[in-house]
Amino acid sequence: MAYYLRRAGNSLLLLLLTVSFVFIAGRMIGDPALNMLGPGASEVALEKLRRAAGLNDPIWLQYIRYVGNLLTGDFGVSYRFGYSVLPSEDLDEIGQPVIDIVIERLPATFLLAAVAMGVAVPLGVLMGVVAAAHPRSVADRIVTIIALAGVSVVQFWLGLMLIVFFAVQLGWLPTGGYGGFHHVILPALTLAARPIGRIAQITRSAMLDEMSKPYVVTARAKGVREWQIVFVHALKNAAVPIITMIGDELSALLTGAILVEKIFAWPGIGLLIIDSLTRSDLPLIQASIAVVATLVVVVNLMVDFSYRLVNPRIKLGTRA
Amino acid sequence: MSSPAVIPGDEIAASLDTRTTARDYLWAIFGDRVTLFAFAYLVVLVAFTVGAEFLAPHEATGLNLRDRLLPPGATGSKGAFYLLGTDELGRDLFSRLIYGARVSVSVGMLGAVVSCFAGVITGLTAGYYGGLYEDVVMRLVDGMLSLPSMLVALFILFVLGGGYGNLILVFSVLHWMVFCRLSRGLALDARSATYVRAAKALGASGPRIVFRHILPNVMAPIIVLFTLEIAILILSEASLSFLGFGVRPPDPSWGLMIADGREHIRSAWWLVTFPGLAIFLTALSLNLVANWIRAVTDPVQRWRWLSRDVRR
Repeated sequence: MAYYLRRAGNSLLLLLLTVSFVFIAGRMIGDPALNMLGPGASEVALEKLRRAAGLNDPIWLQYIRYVGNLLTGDFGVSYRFGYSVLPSEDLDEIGQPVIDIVIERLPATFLLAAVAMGVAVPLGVLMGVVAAAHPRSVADRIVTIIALAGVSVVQFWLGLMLIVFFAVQLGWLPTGGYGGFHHVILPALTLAARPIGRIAQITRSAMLDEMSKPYVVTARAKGVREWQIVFVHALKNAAVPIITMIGDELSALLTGAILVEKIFAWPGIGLLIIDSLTRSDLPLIQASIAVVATLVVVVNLMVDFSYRLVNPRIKLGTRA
Repeated sequence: MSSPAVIPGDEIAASLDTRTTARDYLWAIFGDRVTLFAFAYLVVLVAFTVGAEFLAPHEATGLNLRDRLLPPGATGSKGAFYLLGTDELGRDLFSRLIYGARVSVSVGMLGAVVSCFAGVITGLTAGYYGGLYEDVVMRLVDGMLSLPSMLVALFILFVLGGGYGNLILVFSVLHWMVFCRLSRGLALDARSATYVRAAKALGASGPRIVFRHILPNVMAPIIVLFTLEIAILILSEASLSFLGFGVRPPDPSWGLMIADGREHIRSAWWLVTFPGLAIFLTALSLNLVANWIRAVTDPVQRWRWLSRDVRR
């Protein structure tokens, strides 16, 4: 229990550091008021906004206020989204709260990630198991080649190639956008390529290790069926490295989605990040980075904790 | 009592000599078609990177609007031959790929070199000395490794602006940890090895043990990781440049070329296909070479690769 708490505490500290880094770096790029109102703003309006937003206060006070607001879930308002009225004295009128915008985008990204991992995990594990069960066979060679290709391919390029082939040439699937099931196929496949390769590779090597261990020989001597040895006995013992890789790939997928969403115009958090960066919408950038970093840190924590469920022999928190 | 040219024992000793020579490695490369292909591709790539001016058939910049968007293998208005076609400004795609190799490969290489140096120095010393220093370094490494690196890279480049130097800076800051973690583990293993204890008993200083004794013994996995990291960095460079946060437009980079070609994806498929293929083949070759290095330096596996009789 103490271990879980310490790990969670470390993660919280890490998130605080990240948010602070983003805050400080964000202030380095220029005057936030000018950024918010655009280059054509009058000095009077700028000063008014600065006073209203507390931008004239010392930086440490602003920082404390910023972190305090974060703790209550207030990430500030967007410079660009829902930007209809010019700022009056009341700051709330100038934009939509960024956290709402970010949360609104989460389901699309989750859907994409779920479909991609739903394809990648069974397929990758199966490929790795088959390859390891018949080392040096034709199947092994094919799996190795596919896995290497999946790891070496540039994701966004694969996405573009899929668009050219399936959407432009064959016309079977839409080139992008959000909608029914057929919209999710191409982006999910694009995202799945790399995890399939990595999971197949790690499964193959972990399984090869297990298959040469004495308990497999014992099982064979007892007359246990080969498929049972492979899938029940060996796969269970090979689970720890496979789960680590799945967790790694899941957090990589959350950021890999940035490019894939951009290419397929998929309205998830990745596209939002690109849009907010190109529009210099600082509060939105800060909020989306904080949310994605939190997700990634949570995934990493879950992976760490799942080790113990999979393998009770692992004592957490002790040094090997 | 004339001295015999060969003492019988020497002959036996010579036949038992299992030292690996450069010739053995060369043989191992040529013995495997896939590895040979990977090495050959990388050699050509490095040649292009170094000698782009001499090897490119056309200029990479400068426009020629009469030869716009010609398909691969077309002959242009002045009889110029375009192996891979031309882009929307009439520039030869093949030549731009060669100049693009210079940018993409060198960013990947330099990023990997800097992060390798930083990571290996901190990692080896952390593993060897231990103590508070190790705790601090490894805490930092674990923390930074659990951040989404692509996102952090995007944000830093947004703040600092894109460009060649900043890309290398970002890659070094975000990738030294993998080298650090690996070399710390290696140093931890080596610390109790006999040769390290022997060196210590002879009075060798800490830095001397770390860099003259441990480092040469753990080079192999570091080189493997270095090779893989180059591939990862080339892929990241392409992604960041594609999004407009990496290399700036007048420099041709493979990622930028894909971004430019995207507008013509319906009419001129070659503009997107070939730069992506170049990146793919580069990453694939680096992965294959890394696998080869791993196998050849692994005492359990190497006989299979280095022996000339055994079929793999």
